[in-house]
Order: sequence, then C-alpha cells, then structure tokens
Amino acid sequence: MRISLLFVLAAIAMAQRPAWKQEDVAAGRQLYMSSCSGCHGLTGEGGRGPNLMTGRAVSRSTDEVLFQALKFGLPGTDMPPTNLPDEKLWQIMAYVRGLSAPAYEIPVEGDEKAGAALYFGKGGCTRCHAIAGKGGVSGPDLTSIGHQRSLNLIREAVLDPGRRIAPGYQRATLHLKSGQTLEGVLRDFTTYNYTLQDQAGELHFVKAADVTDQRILPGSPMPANYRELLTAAERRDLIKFLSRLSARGAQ
Amino acid sequence: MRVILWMGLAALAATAQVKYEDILAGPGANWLTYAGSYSGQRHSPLTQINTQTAKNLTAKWVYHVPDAKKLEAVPVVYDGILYVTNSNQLHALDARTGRKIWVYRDEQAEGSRVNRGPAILGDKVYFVTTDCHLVALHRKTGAVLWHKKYADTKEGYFATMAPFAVKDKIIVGMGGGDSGARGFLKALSAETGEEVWNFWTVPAKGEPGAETWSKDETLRWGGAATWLSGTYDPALNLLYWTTGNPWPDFYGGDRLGANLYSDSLIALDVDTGKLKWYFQFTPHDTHDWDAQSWPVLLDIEWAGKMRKVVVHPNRNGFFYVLDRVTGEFLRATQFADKVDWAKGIDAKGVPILTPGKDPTPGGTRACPAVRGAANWMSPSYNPATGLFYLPTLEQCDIYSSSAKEPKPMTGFAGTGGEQIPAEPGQMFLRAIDPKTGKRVWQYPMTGPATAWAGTVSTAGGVVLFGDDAGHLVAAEAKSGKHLWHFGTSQNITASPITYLVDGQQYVTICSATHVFTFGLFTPAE
Repeated sequence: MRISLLFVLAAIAMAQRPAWKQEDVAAGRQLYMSSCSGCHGLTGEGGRGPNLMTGRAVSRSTDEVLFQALKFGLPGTDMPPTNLPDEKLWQIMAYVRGLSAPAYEIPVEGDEKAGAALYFGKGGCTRCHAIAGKGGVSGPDLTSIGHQRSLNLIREAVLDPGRRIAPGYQRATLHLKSGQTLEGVLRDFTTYNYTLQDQAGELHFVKAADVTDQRILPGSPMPANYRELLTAAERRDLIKFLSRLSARGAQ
Repeated sequence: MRVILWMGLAALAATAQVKYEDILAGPGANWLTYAGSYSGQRHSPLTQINTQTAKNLTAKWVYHVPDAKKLEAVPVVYDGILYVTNSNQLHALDARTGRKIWVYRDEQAEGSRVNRGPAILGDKVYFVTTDCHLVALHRKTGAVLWHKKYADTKEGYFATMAPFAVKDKIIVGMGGGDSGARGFLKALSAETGEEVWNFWTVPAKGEPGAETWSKDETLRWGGAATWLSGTYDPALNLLYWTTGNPWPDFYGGDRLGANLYSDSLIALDVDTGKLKWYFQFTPHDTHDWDAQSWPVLLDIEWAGKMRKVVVHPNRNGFFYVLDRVTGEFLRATQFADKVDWAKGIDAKGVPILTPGKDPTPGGTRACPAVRGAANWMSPSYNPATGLFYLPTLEQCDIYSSSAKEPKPMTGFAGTGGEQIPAEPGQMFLRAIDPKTGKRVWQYPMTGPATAWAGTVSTAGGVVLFGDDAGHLVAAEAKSGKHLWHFGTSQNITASPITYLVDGQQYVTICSATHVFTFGLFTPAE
C-alpha cells in the first residue's frame, strides 16, 4: 500500500514537471552549487560522485529515475536524500540535464544574431569551421553542433580549446621519402598508416613506411585567447549562436 | 577573412568530382551506384580475381559498424574511399585499410531502420534517414551541406532505400506501403534537394488507373511503395522502377480491381517524371508480392535480332522479359519450382490463376512464400556467359486474411503469410539464360532460408554471392562450380561489390554488423 502510494505521489510529481525556463536553469545552478557540486564537481565533471557532464549516469536516465534519485537518494551510495521541495528538485534537474543534454535542447542565454555576426566576423571561425558547406575544413563541421555537443562542451571548446581535441583533428606535418611535405589534420593514424586532410580538403593516404619525419602538434590549433578577444557578452552571444546550430533547423 | 574562405572553397571545388558520365561508364576501379551501373547488371570488368586466382582470396580488413544489427547496405566506392550506411549514419573508410576517415550521424532522426546504401555525385555523398530526409555531405570532409525532408512520417512514410543519382537529380522513394501509405517516387535537385518532380504510384481520383481501385478512399493509402533503387537507360532517357504491393497486403475485398500501379514496373521520363509505360506483374495482389527486384536492362538477341529488353525476376515466381522501349510483354517463365498460385502467364502477360489460392481467415497454402521466390537480393548478369544470376527461395506459406476495416498507420496488413514448420524453405543461386528463360545451373545452399544476400558478377568469370549459412562464396560463372568461400558467422542481408585501388581488386560485403573486405593474397613487401 505504502509503495503504491509512493508511486502515486511520484506520478503526481512527474505530472508537474515544468517546461524548463532560463530562470529554472539559473535557480537550479544556484542549488547545484550549494548542494551537489561538492561531490559532482563545479562544472559537473565528477569527483566523489559520477561525472554528470560526459558520463552516462544522467544522460541515460529518465526524468522519473533522476527525480527519485534526487529526492530519495541512492541507497548503498553516498548520494543522500533531501528535504528540498519538489519545485526546487525540478530546478536542479533542469540544470543537471543541461550539463549533458545536446545544447540545442536547453534554454541558453544570449543574442543569437549578434553571435552569428561574431562567428562570421570578428571571431574568425569560418577559417577552420564550416556551416552548411561554407567555411574551412581544418576544424570540425559545425552545421549540427547544437545537437552533437552539450552547452558545457561548446563553451569549453570556445574558451579552452586545448582541453579536448576532437578526434580526427590533430594538426600534423609529415615529411615523406619522396621529398613532399604534407600539412593538415590527421583524420586517422596508426602505426602503419596516416590519413591526412590538407587545408584544401584533399585527403592523403600515406603508409608509415613512406614517412621520414612526423610532427604532430600538441593541443588545438584553435586560438586560445577568446576570453581576451571577446567581451563576456560577446562570448555569451557566440555560444548561444553555436548552441542553436542544427542541420535540420537550417533547412 | 572572406578571401580566405573563398580560397578554401575554390580549392575544394577544384578537386576530383564524380560526374554523371563516370556513373554512365559503369563499374571499373569505382563502384558508383547501388547496382554498379545504370543497367543494373552488377557486372564488373575487373579480372584480377578470376577462376584461377579466386582460391587465393583472403580477408584484407574488417570494419565494425557501431550500433549495427542488420546491415543491408551496398557501399559505393570512389577514388579509394568506401562509403557505407547504417541507420541514420554514413561512414567514409579508406578502402585499402578499412580505417575510418569520417562518420556522420543524424542525431535528430526518428527511430532506427535498415538502410540500403548511399549515392554519390559531384563532391557530394547522399543517404536517406529513417524519417525521409535526404542528406548531402561533402564526400571528403563529411561536412553537412544540407538536409532535405521529402516526406512526412505522420503520413506513414519512412525511408530505407539507396538514393539514385542520375544526371543532375537524386531519385528517392519511400517505405510504408505495408501500413497504408500512398506510394511515390521523387526527383530532387542534386545541388539543393529541391523537388523537381513527383510521381504517385497510386493515382489520384479521376486520373488514369484510379478506376482499378473499387473504393475512392483506398487511393489515399494504396501502398505501391518504392523502397528499392531502380535502373536507367540513357539513350531512351527512361527511368525503370518497380513498385510494392497494394494495401492491405493480404485482404483485397476493399480494393477490388487490378490496383495500379502496385506490383508493377513503371518507366518514367527522367527529366519530367511522366509515365511512359507500365507493366503490372501481379494484378490485385493478395500475397504481398512486391515487384521489388530491380529491373535489369539487357541488349540481347530476340527472335533473330538485337532487342532492348528489361528482365525482372518477380516475387511471384516468374521471370519476365519485356521490351524496354514500349513495355511490350515478351515472355514469362517459371524460375522457381514451388509455384502454385498461377498455372502460368498468358500471351499478354496476365497470370492464369489457380482457384482457391487467395488468403482466407483459416489460412490457405500457396507458393511462393510471402518472402517471394525472388526479392530485393541483388541479381547480376554476365554478358560473356549470357547468364543471369538469381538468388532464389523455394518455399510455400500459409496465407491468412482478415476483412477488418483497414486503418492506415496502425500496423494492419490484413494479416499475413506464415512459414509451414514441416516444410522448411531452401535457397539456391540459379543461373538463368534470359534468351530462353531456362535454368542452366543451380547452386543449392544449406541454412535456415533467412538470407537476403545478393550477387556480383565479374569479367574474371566469377560470380560472388552471399549464401544462406553466412558465407561469401565465389563460384565459376559458367558452371556454378565452387571456387572459394569465407564464413562471416552471421546472416548476410546485403550484396557484394568489387573495385580496384592501387592495383588491388577488392570484394566487399556487409554482414549483420561488419564490413568485410577481401582481395588476393599478396606476400609482405
């Protein structure tokens, strides 16, 4: 009986799940910082508790499972129950979901139009990145990046590009036996073969035996100074613009 | 900034492009379209793998497609890059090593379905998503150029087919005919994805053919799906496409009449989408016998002179030869032994029906099985042997029907065909002479009769095919003699291709979860 009552209550709570608004995310962030960040990290990167940013704990759980975990804790783990009202738990969820959800699916602050102007202008992004076929090839295609990355990872890529290199985009110079020098990004490399894409987009398939010298540049070729180059408002607008990029939305 | 951007684009544009003429030229080093060539013959001029050397075939690489459960894709290969699809994703691989160059995943597509492969034209590689978007990607970078939605899942449509690149168009079709979607074939601009023409495979009220449906409302949901790729004759400027069954599949009481253009071959002007002629194989079908084996275009001697024909092995058990200029019926011969729904095909191409073979509420035994004596598994034709290589299923089923009121998009098919437990099916590879319709040899297979594996023919005198026990097999084209086999340990639901990179001839076939590639053994350098 008690169990079924609990389920009824949970069902009522589920039914009240609000549409997430920017205010909920902001309030949820406050609550997260005071109640959750001690174990899950300031940016959700994990610690004593699981990583909420790139881990699967959140992204693979339903709203109901997450809500139950927040409210009642997870017995047998360090995750405690809480007395916070349901409304505040939903706000925490709004924020936590956003840590791993595709950026396109969550509310993001900023001016998209102003962000677009920065992307195509002052930001210099088109030199290496393409949207709908327009732009360079030495960085990942951004046409649908709003669906491919969480907001946190987009923000990190802009502000701290060296932290994580997108697979297939390490910059390299290969000197070949033939005397030729190839420069570009390594779409793939193994002990035996290299697949290098040059700035013109041309692919070069090279056997390791034909390489006399290889220089693989550490870090990201992306400028690491967007914090200085752009104001806080500009960074916010640029990230907003990136978060709305959608291959289907763009059609 | 802009200068740099445009320099980059110009440089990309200057690189090699896949031209319409390249596809017209047919397979060689490359494999540029689903059936290898516009004629649909799946015959490669490559000879490195031949009757003498085939025994030295060996695995070159294996690529695992993450998330794959049932790959049905025929890859395309251009300039040493192999493109293969799975549900809502396209993988570009180095064809020499099987190493991934890039992958595109459409994160927004609805659900998961099989996908039969990509198309290539210009600097673009194309595929369809489960929910009917045509996606164009840059073939070298995998960058998204555009997505174009061409049908709505809310109307019961989905997509699994390999798009077909011809001239400046991409031809796309649909699935959903088994639950009451109205069939169509569309041409989209290869450059922008904009619709150029649309042909409804079920006519609208008042149009020719509408009188072959007894109730007007059935025209809205008639089926006649277009889920397989087609063929094309450049000299006649005609596109040849086959259509699926009418709906509800197994109960015809609400759709009395022939139900055009279901179970038909349609010949359309490729520039306008206008119907030039049609031929219906199974009028008023109640056995789910889609005409989904693509129409193969042959120029053969017929009654003493060369004739442009189109041949089509149908799910209904008969092998048809039509004049492809006019659509005139020339002949149909029975290619499967287990055929009892019709006694034969008359001089006009109309089946001579056996009474009592319609599905009934209690079940009716009829042959072939619902899967058909032939189906979409790729056949091939070798001009040197003059033989047509056809995967064939010998099986009968119990067909049942229900007269329940048809409601589209509810999964209702008017019930179905069930295998008879005491009568297991058997698969064969059969070599048929299209000039006579006679069987020249057959290669019996062991297995559960669940393969959906096709064939590829080569000028090396070898036919390669997937068998019913999960092997890729090489056999002598003129005799069917076994030359070589390789076990994948999985049910094969795709067809092999062959191509040449850096002087090495490769054969590639997808198993359920992997892309397997073979070539002749070469000693280490």
